[in-house]
Amino acid sequence: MTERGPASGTLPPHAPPTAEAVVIGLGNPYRSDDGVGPEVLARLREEGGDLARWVTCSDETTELLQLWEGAALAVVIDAVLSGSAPGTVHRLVEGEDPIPPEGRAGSTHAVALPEVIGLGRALGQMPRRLVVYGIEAASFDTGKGLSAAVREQVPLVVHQVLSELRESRGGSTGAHGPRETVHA
Amino acid sequence: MTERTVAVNYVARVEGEGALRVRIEQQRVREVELRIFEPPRFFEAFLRGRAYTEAPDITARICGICPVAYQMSAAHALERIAGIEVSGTVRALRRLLYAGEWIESHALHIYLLHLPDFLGFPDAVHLAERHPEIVKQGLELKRAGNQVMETLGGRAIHPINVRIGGFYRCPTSEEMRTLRSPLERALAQAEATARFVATLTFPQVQEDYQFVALRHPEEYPMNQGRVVSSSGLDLPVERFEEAFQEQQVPWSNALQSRSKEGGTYLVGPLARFALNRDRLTPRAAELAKELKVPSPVLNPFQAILVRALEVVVACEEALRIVRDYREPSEPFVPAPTPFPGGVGQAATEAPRGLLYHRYEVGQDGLIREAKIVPPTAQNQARIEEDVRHLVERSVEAEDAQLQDACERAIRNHDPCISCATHFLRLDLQRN
Repeated sequence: MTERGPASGTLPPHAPPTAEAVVIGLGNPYRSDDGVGPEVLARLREEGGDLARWVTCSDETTELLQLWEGAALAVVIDAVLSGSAPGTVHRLVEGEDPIPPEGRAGSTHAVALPEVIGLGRALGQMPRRLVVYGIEAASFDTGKGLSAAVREQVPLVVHQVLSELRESRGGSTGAHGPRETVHA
Repeated sequence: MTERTVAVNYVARVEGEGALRVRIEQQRVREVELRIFEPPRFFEAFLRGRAYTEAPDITARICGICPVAYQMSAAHALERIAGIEVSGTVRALRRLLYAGEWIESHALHIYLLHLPDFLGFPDAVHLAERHPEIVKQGLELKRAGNQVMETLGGRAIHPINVRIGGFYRCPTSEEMRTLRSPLERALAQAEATARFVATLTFPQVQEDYQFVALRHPEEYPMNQGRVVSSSGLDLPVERFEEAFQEQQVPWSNALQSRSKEGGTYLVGPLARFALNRDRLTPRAAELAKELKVPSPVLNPFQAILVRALEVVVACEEALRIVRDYREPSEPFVPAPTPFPGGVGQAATEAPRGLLYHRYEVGQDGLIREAKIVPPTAQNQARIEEDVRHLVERSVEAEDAQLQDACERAIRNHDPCISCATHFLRLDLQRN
């Protein structure tokens, strides 16, 4: 990744904020709602400035280990299928909330996100804190463009992630959105 | 009970998703259907009306694991129409980029997807918990491939630096020098990997494959060569469609390929190795001899060993190109204007096997027609035969065991169901 920080994975003691947080949009924009991660990331990149490193990842998910290793905070945005209403936003904190095995029916990724988290734990390659935003998908059909239910939630997720990053940086604006599952 | 169906609704550790249904009657295998679900012709339709210069970047999006293969087959096919030939250093850089993809894709498959089968772990996470050093080595090896892709492709996953005629920008000598030590380390790791996987216990199976691969006068094939087969076929790439045809089967969205005589065939590492053993790079050739790798390898479980040898080939080639590098004066050969238009075909060796592209482009530079024949679509019918033979041999086994064995038989061939189309689920029916 061209956006990657130091290869050692250990951060210098007074690292600038950009090295502290990484936000990763996971998904394939050619598979309808699977593209929600990259879509949210594109907005965040515009609005978030130097709050984090902004990275998109489409298939090769083991890259996540390198991308987030040593970061103070990693936020991953991905489409999910859990049976909730399309557009439902799930916010899961690694170590606090159970992260269920990914419904493979909806996964276009070679190694599913929960597996990458499992690898990260086993190999000691985790960020200090990992938050996953999963947006319930309506469709994984081929083609560009999000479904209406998912598209409507994009501004909310962008807002929440920005609040999360500001809070983690120590300068909370108080504009934090709901902490748990948000129903569409 | 005389009939049973064994279903694997998702075949784990297969890139993408698919399903397998096996129907057994009176202890005999009646049907084996490997199902692939994604609308396969999406990208072909999507390419129509687009500028020919866009094809490498659009087709790269078909697969996150082998984008270079798609870029290369597209670029070569379109260069044939443009009447340009890429040679010298720029050609070598393309081979380096391809080597990076082989290292990345094969390391991922060997360590994270295939090795757990041989070491008795349900997946890579369990393997990593017990043997973190093994998985770390695999990830480190894979990273060397990523680094090559980053240096040449602009980024690791969907390289954006490839264009018709070459590259948008060639790396500086300084940038290329930074690849040396990771590649030297990767070569040592690749050799260690081959020695390690040679010690695994392989189920004793022999299949009678018809192998199809590219063959180049001097090189282990990646970007160029003639289409050859183990039954004596030897054709220029532009005649590929005379020898192989695609057919629709009711249970799959991917078109299945067969030879014109109707037989199934296999592309990929086993085929490349069988048809190009005399083109291995020096250390890979020595290792193949030292490890007593048979010629050809007909046991599909030993594909892991052949992949490991191919990682050695890719590392040796990458190092040679990096060492010999001198920045070229021009990063690409320009296409003539006005664009001549016409039909062009090309095949390159994706990590999973021969990838054929054909384009028809108008004189306005817009694509009229695109045809893409990915390796997994070509292997699909042959994988079904492997599964059929496996079930015939183990028909007495419990369903759970049989399901597991079927999954392993499929994983041997590293099917990329998201490029052939998508996905896999397994359904074993017994009565």
